[in-house]
Amino acid sequence: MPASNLSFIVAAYSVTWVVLLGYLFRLVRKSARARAEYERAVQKRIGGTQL
Amino acid sequence: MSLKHDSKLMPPSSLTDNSRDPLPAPPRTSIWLGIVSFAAVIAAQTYAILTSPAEGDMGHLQKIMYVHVPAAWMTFLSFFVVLVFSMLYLWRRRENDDLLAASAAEVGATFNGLTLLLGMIWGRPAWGVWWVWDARLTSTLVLFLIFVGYLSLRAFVDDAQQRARWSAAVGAIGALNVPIVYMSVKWWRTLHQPQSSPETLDPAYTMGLRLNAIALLLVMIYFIRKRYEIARLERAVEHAAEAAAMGAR
Amino acid sequence: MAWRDDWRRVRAIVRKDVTTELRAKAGFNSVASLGVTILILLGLALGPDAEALRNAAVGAVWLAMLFSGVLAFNRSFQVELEGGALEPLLLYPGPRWTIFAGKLLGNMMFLTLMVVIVAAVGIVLFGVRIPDDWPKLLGVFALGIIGMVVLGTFYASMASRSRAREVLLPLLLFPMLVPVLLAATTASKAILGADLMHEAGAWIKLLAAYDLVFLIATFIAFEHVIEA
Repeated sequence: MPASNLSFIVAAYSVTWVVLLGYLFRLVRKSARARAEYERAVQKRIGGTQL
Repeated sequence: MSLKHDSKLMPPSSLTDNSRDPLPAPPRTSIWLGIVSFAAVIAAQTYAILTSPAEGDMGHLQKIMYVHVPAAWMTFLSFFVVLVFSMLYLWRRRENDDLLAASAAEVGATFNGLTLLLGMIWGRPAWGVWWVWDARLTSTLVLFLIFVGYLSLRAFVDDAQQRARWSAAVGAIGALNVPIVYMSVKWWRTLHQPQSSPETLDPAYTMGLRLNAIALLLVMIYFIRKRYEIARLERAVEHAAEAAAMGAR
Repeated sequence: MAWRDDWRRVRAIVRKDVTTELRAKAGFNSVASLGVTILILLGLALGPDAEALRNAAVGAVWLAMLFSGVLAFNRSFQVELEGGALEPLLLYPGPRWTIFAGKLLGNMMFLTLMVVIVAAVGIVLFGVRIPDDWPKLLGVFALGIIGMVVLGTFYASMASRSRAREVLLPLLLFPMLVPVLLAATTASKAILGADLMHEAGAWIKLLAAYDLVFLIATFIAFEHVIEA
């Protein structure tokens, strides 16, 4: 029985890493996109009429 | 929480009218925190797997505990963060408090989903079925639905102030229910039969558990800060668009 | 006497809602009919074995109340929303909690009336045997309905004004009502089944505590939520 449990242990740790890394990548991608948008918005402000 | 002010993004003060600036530059999340936290999880898991002894007829199955239990703890901790910052927002109406609460909710929902998956993976060999209506799994599932409700509310409300106020109220009241849900499901299950899994933990396992908990805590903090950074950036862009729209009139 | 004025405001809101409800007779009748319909569908889905139905009776009645109750809650705010009457209502002088209290009482009356009908139909359809201590059952139902109405009214004050009110109200409300559902069904089943282990009392206490906690919490939170 312990032998078949191995597949569950492996599954548990795999799922953990899939979720953690998956969420990490989602956050990294989202933050890159958000920061690009932010810089674009700031550039627009500098370029806009502020005299 | 240190807010690193990125001077490259701020225009020279001579060119701008500060009274209509968007929010101050959103904080950058330290990449080192990310690296260290993930490395800590690898280290803690390795330590726990190598040092925990096999137990009885379940063999090494209890090793799942090292990922399942910390994930559950991070879920509850995130909920607590949502509660604190929801109440802070209702008290002093600072937008950043709302954004932090929302970030903690998304991260909490992720850990919650992970807890449920791991609970099922542990349960299958331990109890023979993929799901049992036991106290912990069931209340964790209900909590997940409360998180989902909170996030759905935010998705369906367009006005930023209203969204912030409503989420804060829903978040605080939802968090209030967490212990009640847990207690009532526990009563519901144990009035006629004892708890299915043992509560007491052999000291041989506690060190590994603590290490994994601390490591996952670091990951949670990193996730929340990163998500908060995104929220601040998006909000700043929204503010700039609003200001531009007002200026155009 | 400030509280007398407040109480008058509450009564005014209740009277307004009841009058609107009575004039648009379709409202209560259709919601109550839906409750009964759900009960019938549950009977069909879970039956026809008499013993199975008897065991399922309590759960079926509460579920029917839950699913049709959300319609009642959304309606209690929809009346103002459709007529654009929410803003004027907020402009009236006086504390906001009186609006919440008025809506609460209105919904309490609505759902109490409904549960009488749904429970009666449930007793008949599911073959429930009435025990000697059935008054205790009334207490359980009263506390359960209060819990439903308090949180239902609170969440409806937001959901009814959002983009997806039909799905948002149940999504927010149902997970929060889990303790009510568990307590009400378990206590009811215990009372119906002679309550050999005296567990009904503990569940009733839980229900009462739950109602009190959320009554206070929602009253406090309503102030923040009702502004336009």
